[in-house]
Amino acid sequence: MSARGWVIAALLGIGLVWGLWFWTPVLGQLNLLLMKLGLLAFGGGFTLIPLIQEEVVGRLGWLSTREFIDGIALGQVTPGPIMITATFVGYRIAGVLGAIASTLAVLFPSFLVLVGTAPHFERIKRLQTVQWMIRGILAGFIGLLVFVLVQFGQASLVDWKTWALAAAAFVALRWKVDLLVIVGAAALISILVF
Amino acid sequence: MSEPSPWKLFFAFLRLGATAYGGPAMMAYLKSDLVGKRGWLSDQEFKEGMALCQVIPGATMVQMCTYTGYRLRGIQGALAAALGFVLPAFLTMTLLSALYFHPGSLPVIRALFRGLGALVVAIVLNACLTLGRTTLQGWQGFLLAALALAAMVLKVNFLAVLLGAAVLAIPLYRFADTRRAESAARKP
Repeated sequence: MSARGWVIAALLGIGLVWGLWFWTPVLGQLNLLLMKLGLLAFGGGFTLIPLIQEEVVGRLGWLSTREFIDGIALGQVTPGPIMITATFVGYRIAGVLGAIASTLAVLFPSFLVLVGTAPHFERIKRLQTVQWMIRGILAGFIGLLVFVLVQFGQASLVDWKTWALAAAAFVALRWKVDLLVIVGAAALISILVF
Repeated sequence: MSEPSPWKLFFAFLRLGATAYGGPAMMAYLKSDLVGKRGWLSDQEFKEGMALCQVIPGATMVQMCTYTGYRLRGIQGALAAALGFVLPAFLTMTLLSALYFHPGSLPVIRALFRGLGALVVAIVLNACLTLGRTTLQGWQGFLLAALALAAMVLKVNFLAVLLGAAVLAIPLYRFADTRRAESAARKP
């Protein structure tokens, strides 16, 4: 990317954070946070989940664990990346404007990283230390995911019915049943059973 | 072949974004569309793109679309592809969020989410296993994951946890790689 491109990108990023900060302070704060988390989400969008749980749910308490879990469930019925759960978080905090802003904020840093590294990837690939560090971060994320798993389990698995449903869904996932089929079946069962 | 215009890219990725269900399985679909049907990337380019998108942060699928747009049309193409791909998900999610947060939701909706919450637990567990199998190669990975979990339980800040994992990984994996290289060298 050209120097001019980077300047425009920097201005956009500042606008996304500080422009909105003046408009609605909480939105500016959310955007700054989501940019940070978007930059850390190594290993695909799924690692964004423990990050949001830790920061937005745990530290700031802007939405409850239950709500966040429901948001992730909605992310399963929408097409596209799981990262879109950030849109749900933004909507919870500041309505449609929040949804737009948080979607842009969470995608923005990884977009810049991609256009910044794509032309130099051959060189980066040979940096052994970077490779080791990324492997370490990915391993660390497994620990974070297990931590989130326990928190989600405590919030969601409240009786034998929910345990049974989770177990059945897990088996279906392992058997590589189509995710939409699983979601549909789980929805139908929930309406009948709960 | 002339490069597609940014608008053409936008609509092509809009279509992909609207039909992209089911996580990792989508990558095969993306490949068949971009490499097979449209011929926008060669097999080799797609492979290189995947290698890049897997090491940098961000949703792999979105990154792969951005990469394709970037290869074809530079920064404009990258923007067109990323926005096109994410737009359907964004619209659906905003609509669903509006319905979800609408005051006075029906009991049936509450019942629905009780079940879907259980499903999310299964999805996270599945992600732990799938991601774990590809990333935790050798005892070093398991050690780092266990340390990270312990640190989270002890309420260490997650940034410190991830940074710690990155720093500890250097000696651990360096040791592992040297050992592997030595044993490979010993075999004639």
